[in-house]
Amino acid sequence: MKRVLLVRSFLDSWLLLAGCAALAAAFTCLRVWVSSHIEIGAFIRFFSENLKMLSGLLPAPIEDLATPLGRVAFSFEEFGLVLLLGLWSIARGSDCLAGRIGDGTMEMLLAQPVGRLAVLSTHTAVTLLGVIAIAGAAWCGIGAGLHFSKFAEPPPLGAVTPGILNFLGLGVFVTGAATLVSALCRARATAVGLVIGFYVIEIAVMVVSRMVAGLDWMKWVTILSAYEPTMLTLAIDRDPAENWPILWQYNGLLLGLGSLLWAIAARVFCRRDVPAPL
Amino acid sequence: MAVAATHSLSKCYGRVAALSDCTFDVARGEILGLLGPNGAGKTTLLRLLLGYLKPTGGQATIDGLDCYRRSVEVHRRLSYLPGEARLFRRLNGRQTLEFFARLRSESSLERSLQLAERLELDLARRVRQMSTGMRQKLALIVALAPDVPLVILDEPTSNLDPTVRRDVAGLLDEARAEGKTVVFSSHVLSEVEDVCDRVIVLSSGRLVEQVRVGDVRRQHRIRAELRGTLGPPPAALAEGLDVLVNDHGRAEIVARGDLAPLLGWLAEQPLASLRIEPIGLRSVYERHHPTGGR
Repeated sequence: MKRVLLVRSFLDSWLLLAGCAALAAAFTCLRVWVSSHIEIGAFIRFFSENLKMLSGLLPAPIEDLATPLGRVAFSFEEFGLVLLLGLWSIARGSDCLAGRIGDGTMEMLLAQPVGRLAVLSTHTAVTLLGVIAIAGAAWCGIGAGLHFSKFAEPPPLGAVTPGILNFLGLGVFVTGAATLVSALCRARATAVGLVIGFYVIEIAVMVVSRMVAGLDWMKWVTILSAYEPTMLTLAIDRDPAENWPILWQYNGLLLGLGSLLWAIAARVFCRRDVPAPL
Repeated sequence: MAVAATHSLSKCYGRVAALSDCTFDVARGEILGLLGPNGAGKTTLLRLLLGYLKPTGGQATIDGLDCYRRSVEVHRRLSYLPGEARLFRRLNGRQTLEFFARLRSESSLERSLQLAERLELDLARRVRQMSTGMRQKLALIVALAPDVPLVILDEPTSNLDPTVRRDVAGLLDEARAEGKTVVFSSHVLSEVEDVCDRVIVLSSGRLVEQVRVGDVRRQHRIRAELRGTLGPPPAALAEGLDVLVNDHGRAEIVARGDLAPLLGWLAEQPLASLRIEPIGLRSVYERHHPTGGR
């Protein structure tokens, strides 16, 4: 029975997944290839002389970001890539409960001898599979970009593994958060709006914590502080023994919170009323 | 033994009571109709039986299992057609039937396909391209295909043309012949009267009347204009009669039993005119909802 639900859930969204994965691969490939063509010395001079006030927003010192590995790892901070991950996780997470309740298919599904937890877990399993696929596609894209790049000494593909793992952790967290909001809402549009609103607030808090000296404590109230793929990639490349544990701490927070939010979503959904479709 | 039963079942949303203190049971092989206008609590009652809603009071059971706490086991014993059935829009009719047939061992694709042929449904068409009536037929097939002891249908014939309505009535008769129990809600009084063994009437979330359709069918209203005084009915008939005579020489008699013995007494009365009509469900319904019903 669960296999039937898994297959249905996958078939419902394979096109979205294929699109997100293909775009993630293409984006990272192009991004790495372009960054290898930039005359970086001039860029560092320009940034240091004119945009020094923005240096607080950077995940690492500009000199470290200018290295080939820094430039490659910075791909994970790009809005386009994070947007693709968010698009997949939020679309799927919000569809899981609020979407199916709103469109009425939940009512037909639950009329079968299928537990609510089975419906939730099979849907989430496919979502997490998609998160892994998008991260894998991004990794392949980086590999292809490095192959065609003009770096004098391109970094090994394995060096960006910390960034990929941190990216995966973010995907798990967003999936958990979107599923929880979906369990609390009746309409999918409301769920999507709330998750995006939360994400925007998190970004704002992150920017303020980095830009305003007296408000740096705010970094403790945003989950995005645990998403530092560039910093982690550079630090682990520099001193693996000392910095791998830091990655596990960051990812532990993302995975732990994501799992906790999912567990709360499951509890809420298994106890809530299933209203008639809108 | 009752297949489904409720005991003081209630559901409130804040201060609004959608269903209050509802107690009834459904015997095996019975077809039970739920009547009531929109907002009377029919759908709430059905959703409580399915375990979709948590009761705020009382209990609903199916085969002795609590509908809310043991919903998966309960769902093995029933199939359900929602009031507004929505199916996966990307699938075509056949894929939809295959999906639901795989989801439960009690269902068979062969039976689903037979039903589709009987209801003349084009299974090659995608759900999103189907008309409302076609989607309703498809959902009805999904609900009627499993071999389960209880079938719950929420307004199964809404959006269907008269021919298909007749087919659905036939399918429900067959379900009864197979020993299945059917609970269904409808606004169409004639349909309920034709199909059901028993009817419960809901009003503002309360169960206000339970009647056997056979009993209702035996009841008649007799309207007469009198040329003189109406004599007293024989003692053997008097218990089953309600007689009302007004000052203008008009009498209204409600007869609850067989009509034949009454006719002899009526023939002896000084009547100028006489009209006899079956009471039917409409009268029962209009007792609680004076302007409702179709």
